[in-house]
Amino acid sequence: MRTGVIQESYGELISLFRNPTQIYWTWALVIASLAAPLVLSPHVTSLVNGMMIAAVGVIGLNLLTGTTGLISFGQAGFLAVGGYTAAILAADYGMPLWVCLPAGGLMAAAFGLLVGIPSLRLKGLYLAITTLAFTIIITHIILSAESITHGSSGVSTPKPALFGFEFATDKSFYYLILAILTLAVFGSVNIKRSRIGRAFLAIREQDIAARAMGVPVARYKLYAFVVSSFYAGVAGALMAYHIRFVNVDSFSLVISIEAVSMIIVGGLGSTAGALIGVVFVLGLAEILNYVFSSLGGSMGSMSALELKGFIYGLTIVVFLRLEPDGLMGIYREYKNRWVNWPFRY
Amino acid sequence: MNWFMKGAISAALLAVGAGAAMAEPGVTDDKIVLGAVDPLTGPPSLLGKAHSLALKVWQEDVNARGGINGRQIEIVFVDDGYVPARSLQGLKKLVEVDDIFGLVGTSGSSQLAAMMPLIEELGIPALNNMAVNSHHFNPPLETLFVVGPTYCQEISSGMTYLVEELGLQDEKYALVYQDDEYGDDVRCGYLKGVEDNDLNNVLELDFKRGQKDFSAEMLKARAKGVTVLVSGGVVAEHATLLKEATKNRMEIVFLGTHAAHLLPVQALAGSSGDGYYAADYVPALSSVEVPGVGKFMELAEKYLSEEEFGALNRYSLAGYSGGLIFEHAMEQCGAELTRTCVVDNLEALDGFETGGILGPVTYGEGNRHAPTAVIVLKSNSADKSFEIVSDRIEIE
Repeated sequence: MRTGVIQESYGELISLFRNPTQIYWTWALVIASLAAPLVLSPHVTSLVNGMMIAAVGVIGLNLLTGTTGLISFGQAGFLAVGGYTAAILAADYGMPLWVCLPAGGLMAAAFGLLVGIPSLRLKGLYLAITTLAFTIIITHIILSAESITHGSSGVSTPKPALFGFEFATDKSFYYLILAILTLAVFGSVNIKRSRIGRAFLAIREQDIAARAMGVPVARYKLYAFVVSSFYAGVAGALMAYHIRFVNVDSFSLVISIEAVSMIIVGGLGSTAGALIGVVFVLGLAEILNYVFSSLGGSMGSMSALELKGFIYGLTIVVFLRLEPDGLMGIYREYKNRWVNWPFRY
Repeated sequence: MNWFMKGAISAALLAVGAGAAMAEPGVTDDKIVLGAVDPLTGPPSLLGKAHSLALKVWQEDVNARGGINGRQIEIVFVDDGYVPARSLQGLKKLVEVDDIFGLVGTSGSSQLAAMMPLIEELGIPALNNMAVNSHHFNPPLETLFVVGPTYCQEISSGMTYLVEELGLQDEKYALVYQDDEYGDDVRCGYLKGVEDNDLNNVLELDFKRGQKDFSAEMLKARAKGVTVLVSGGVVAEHATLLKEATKNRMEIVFLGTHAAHLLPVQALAGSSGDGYYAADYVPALSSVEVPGVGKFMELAEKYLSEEEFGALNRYSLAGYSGGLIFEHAMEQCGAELTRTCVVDNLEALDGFETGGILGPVTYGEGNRHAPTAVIVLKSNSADKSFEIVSDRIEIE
């Protein structure tokens, strides 16, 4: 009788796939992902592209906040750095996409290093405020450095193209974003099962104890900031190509707050949770839009519009209050019940 | 099957194919689908709701009059929350899901900038009557038409009114403006006003977007003996500057852009909000003596609920007049309604009147901006209203 999945060696404990079922489901997901644009409408594909771009940034934030325990509200700032770097390089210097995407990530990573330095002395709310201030500072820098950033006018980005192939439609761009998201997921999963990931976890649980165990806390905290901001920078660069326009309005503080709510709703510290959180939070907004536009005629009444925002906020608050382990927590609970039934443990 | 039958079937298939290829998006025998992207939630919904309600009034009125050449119009609204990324997503949805013919709501300045590549790529006839920026028409897009003056044109015209009508030639002028594109446009108008009227410019101060406290700015203005203050604030900043002036016992004449022509600005300023001036390109909602405004208010009362009626403001008049312009262009096409025809008809507009809501609307080949005319309004906080105090100031 099956009594759960038992890992009997260290190799099994850190393996990417714990059982054949996971491999089958992963293959199913890969096939579904590759086939999705063939069945989805262009509009839905565009929405999915937006979700996948957000997922790249949120996976990075999850490494910093969920895995290392460093609360950051600076994700919008890192997105802005990545987005502006890619847009300026592409629009003003005619750089190709294969240069602009990593450049966006690297520039954001450099800023991440800068912001990470205060994290060596700050924790919790104090660090959150510092990272929040970073987003505000970045906005001011963008507005002030008009000769480079075009100030508040924003920058229009050319159509994405790679080695002569132009991603003319959302459906073609989907595959590029999917490839980058896949790399981001594997990067995150691999970091977490490595020595670095275990150091991140040790810092999250108790940084003094981690130092006592020989973990160089300062180095790993900076490393977490750099990796997380690299992810956000790449997401920002993808966003610049997806919208084909960047300006400071696209990187408001609300984005940072939404990103944190996504990892909490999905389940802190889990890469799969980060992905589910993105789908839940962004999907909920789209579903509410659809429901209210269907119910309320062509526009809906004024009260209905206010109600939409209220339901959106309330759902997230109730979720955070009643299910602190997030959607992944619910999934684990039901999985354990299923695997261990009729026993309870 | 003989050769004759084969030929007949091929011809029939070709005809059907050609018909399908020629069909215009969003146009059927009895309906025209239009789209509008507006901020309907969040703080900027003050603008978007008023704008979209006016479009709703226009839609009901057109349909009650039998539609446009027998076709009823249906406007599909999308809420972008004033976020450029969502504006683009919204437009994609309007194009791909709702199959719109044209766009009569284009949200804010950055939001339209994000949508412009798609508008150009798909050749969607679009009319911007909400947030005018020179980037929207310079260089011009073939199918994007802009109505209303830039902030630069508004402010310089407003300053000319202060000098020519109120005799404020020898006063000390100052400008407080936001450090962004909007503020730069206001500054452009201020400097033009100073130069055209040979005024005494004693102070120019910029402030960061989102700034809430203007005590330092107003203390500097008092120290310089400023008597006329031009405000480059967006909405709440006008009210804060007015209150600071009162607190500092400054007797100033205050001029703002059309964003100051909103009752919430007046209400936020309290007693300080009496007597300030706003340069706008549409009259006040209370100016029912203007035929277009009178008609709109009558229709709004008929088609809107009490709650919706209370949400109207100057953006409603801008939206309604935009609807009238689009209606005229579609009507001129007759039964053969195509995007190309509407663009041609918009381009051909020469002095088109909207019942006095806007100044004459004129476009032309390579000209996609109709600045119309500026009107100066004065705030009356006791009546919670604005009154027109100037004639139409034509823009060259």
